[in-house]
Amino acid sequence: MKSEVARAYDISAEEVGHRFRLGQLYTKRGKIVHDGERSPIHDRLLEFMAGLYWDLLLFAVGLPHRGAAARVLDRDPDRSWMP
Amino acid sequence: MPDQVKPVEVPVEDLIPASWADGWVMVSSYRMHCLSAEALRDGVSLDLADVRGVLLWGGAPYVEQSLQFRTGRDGDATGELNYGGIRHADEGPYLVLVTPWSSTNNRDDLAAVSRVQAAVALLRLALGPNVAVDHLGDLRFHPPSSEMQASSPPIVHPGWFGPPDISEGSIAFVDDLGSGLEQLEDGLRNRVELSLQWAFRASGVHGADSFLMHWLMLETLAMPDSQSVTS
Repeated sequence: MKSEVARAYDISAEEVGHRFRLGQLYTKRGKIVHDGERSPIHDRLLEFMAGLYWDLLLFAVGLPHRGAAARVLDRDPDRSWMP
Repeated sequence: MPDQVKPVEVPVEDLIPASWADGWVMVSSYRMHCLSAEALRDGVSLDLADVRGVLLWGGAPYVEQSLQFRTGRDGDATGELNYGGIRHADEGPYLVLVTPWSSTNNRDDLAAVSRVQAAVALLRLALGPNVAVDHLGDLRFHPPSSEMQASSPPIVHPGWFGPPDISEGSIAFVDDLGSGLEQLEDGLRNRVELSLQWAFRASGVHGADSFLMHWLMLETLAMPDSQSVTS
């Protein structure tokens, strides 16, 4: 997924890791699926994931992304809603 | 033997276990199928720890309520709540599930709904799918005061999202999306369409369910093999 995001945003894999923190999403998924974690999910996190999906979907069909995920990140720079 | 079965209207308070009778509970009613009145003559009690159930013949309680938003010619959306109060379903076989519900906050509401849904899934597996077919609805009940409330999923006013963007540019953009989809090779197109199915499902759920569906949207679309997320 990291490489897809890097290609969609035309940034380096390192930059993807720094900005989008996909590893933390994956860890959260693992905690829910494998550890049965039931902590609340912040609405902003879902908004970010939906934005990332929208950006990747546009990239997949050959259209320029609209920076939806980045917009969510920029709106809340402290990212306390990230897992 | 009609005189030996429970009365058609089943009082909510009769369904609450004594140990939970001093606080709020959520009561969730489901229509069953293919069980006779005779088979349920004495009722059947189920204990799933945080959720207790009763299989009964009668009229299960539920709250009649609907909320419909309508948009007027001026584009403003207004909600109309129709509250019919407590009702009892037509005579038949029902599963009624009860779980503690301790407060009025949204998170606890979702947790109670989640517990009931898990119990329904378990009972369908253990007893067969006809044990819980149609969901009549949920209500919250406080036995000490007999206070009753309707229970409903979180409601978002349509005004929160604003009107759909029907500008010329956006409509042309939708056409571009359609063209882009058409030009995809079969494998990728299938993944895109599957991911959109998850996107559709993700819009009506909350909490961990919603997170996992969002994850599946991303994984289906952007992880074409079993590679690590960091690849």
